[in-house]
Amino acid sequence: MILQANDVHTWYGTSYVLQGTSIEVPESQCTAVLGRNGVGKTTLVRTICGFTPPGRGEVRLRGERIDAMPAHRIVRQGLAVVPQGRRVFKNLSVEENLQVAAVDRARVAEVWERFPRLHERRSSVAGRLSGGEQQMLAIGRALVTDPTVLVLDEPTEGLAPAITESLLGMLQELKRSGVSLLLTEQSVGFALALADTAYVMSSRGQIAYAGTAAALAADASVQEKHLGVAV
Amino acid sequence: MDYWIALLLNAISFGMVLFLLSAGLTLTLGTMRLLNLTHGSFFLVGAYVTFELERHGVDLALAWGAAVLATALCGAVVFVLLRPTGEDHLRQTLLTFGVLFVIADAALVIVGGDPAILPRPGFLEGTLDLGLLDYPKYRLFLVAVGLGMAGLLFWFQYRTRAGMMLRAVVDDPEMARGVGINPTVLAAVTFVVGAGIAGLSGALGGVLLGAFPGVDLQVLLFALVVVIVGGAGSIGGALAGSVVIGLVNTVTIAFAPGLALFSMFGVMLAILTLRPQGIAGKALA
Repeated sequence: MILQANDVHTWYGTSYVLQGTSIEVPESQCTAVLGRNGVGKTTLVRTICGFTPPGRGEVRLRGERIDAMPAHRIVRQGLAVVPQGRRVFKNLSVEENLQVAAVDRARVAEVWERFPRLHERRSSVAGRLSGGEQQMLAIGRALVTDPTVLVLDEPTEGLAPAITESLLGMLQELKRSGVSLLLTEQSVGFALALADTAYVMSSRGQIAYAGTAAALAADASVQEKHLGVAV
Repeated sequence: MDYWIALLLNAISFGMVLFLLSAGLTLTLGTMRLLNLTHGSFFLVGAYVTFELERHGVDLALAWGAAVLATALCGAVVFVLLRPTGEDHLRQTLLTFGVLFVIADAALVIVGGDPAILPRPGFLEGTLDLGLLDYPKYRLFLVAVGLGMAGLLFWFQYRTRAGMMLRAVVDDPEMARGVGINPTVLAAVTFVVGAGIAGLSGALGGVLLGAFPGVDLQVLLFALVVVIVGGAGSIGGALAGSVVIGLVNTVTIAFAPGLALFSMFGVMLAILTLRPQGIAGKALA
């Protein structure tokens, strides 16, 4: 397993959000964490990437513990995050957004190749980009840190269907290139099109279901009970 | 006519001293959210180090360099002291206010209480013929240094990777960590460099403002007003705020000296009412 969260418990102040969550991300695969709004998906991402370290439990990257590391060191260990709401640096240009994160120039050139649209708009202030372009930039900004694991928190949120479609293509290609993906989603269709393994989170970070994505896709009762939709 | 031009140049040269003084403060307050009341003490230290070294026969240019290094070192010490306060502005205020008194008393013991007359280099003595009027060379030199420093800081913020990182931290501190930026290192460098520039303002600007016990508080007030008027976190704002306060102060002193402090705070009050984030700033969280 390239990434593991073992029985993590996370608090926001006195609010006890993740009450013992465990997930595993196999190398070069895509793992999806599904669940309704407010069940703790974003908190799990924040716990893993070091924004809100767990009060108890451990997070391991390639077997090494990272749960006590500050976020900027976790990135250097090879775990990059594309956060909810994208959070590009709005007052920096597209190119600057990549430069501040890049480990070297060659990485930026790779992103230009992967996302020609970003290269066209490299001098634009990131705050002026469309939602889809900002999502591309957020992914590019994560890629220039040379990650082995890429964590994406609700990447389809607020994107038009056509954009979501091309995002799916981009992420499938990333997966093929060997990057391990961890994805949280409310959009079951999107997640299951990409994921090999799927977890379903009920309230407070409880894992209600774990299995292959194909099995979850076939299991209408789990989907109805915890996700409230059928694909 | 030349009276007005001289007045304007006086205001601008004084404004440049204010800019050197407040550049560091606006960055550490606006980007790192560090409230540092010892910032005026850096001016005092810069002025006194220059004074003492030159008095003991050190070349003036070397004394200026030493003043910058000494204040940068002071800045490093204050930064380390500030670490445990986290983001608590009340604790930062109390701590740095205490350090302000420690530095002031140490200066009193070492230099004494008499006002120090700061030296000027020989080639900047006298006036330069500007056509319409003869104007003191030293003040023109201050304008050049101030504008040069502004250019340097702009270049740093917009053309260097460290400057971009600093702007990324201003945009979204947490996400900046999330792409691998170490905010502590960045804050330390900003703090130390800002202290050094404030030291330079003391070394050069002490000629105008004087160097005496109490000047630290006086210039701290100036710096805080400039940062508020200009908008915390913005070099351009600090430049604009410095010139505005330089103008207001110089003009009021020329025509109604008793109202100098009042007019400065009047401008601050107006800005706080009409544009609380300052001329160029973004709202402080």
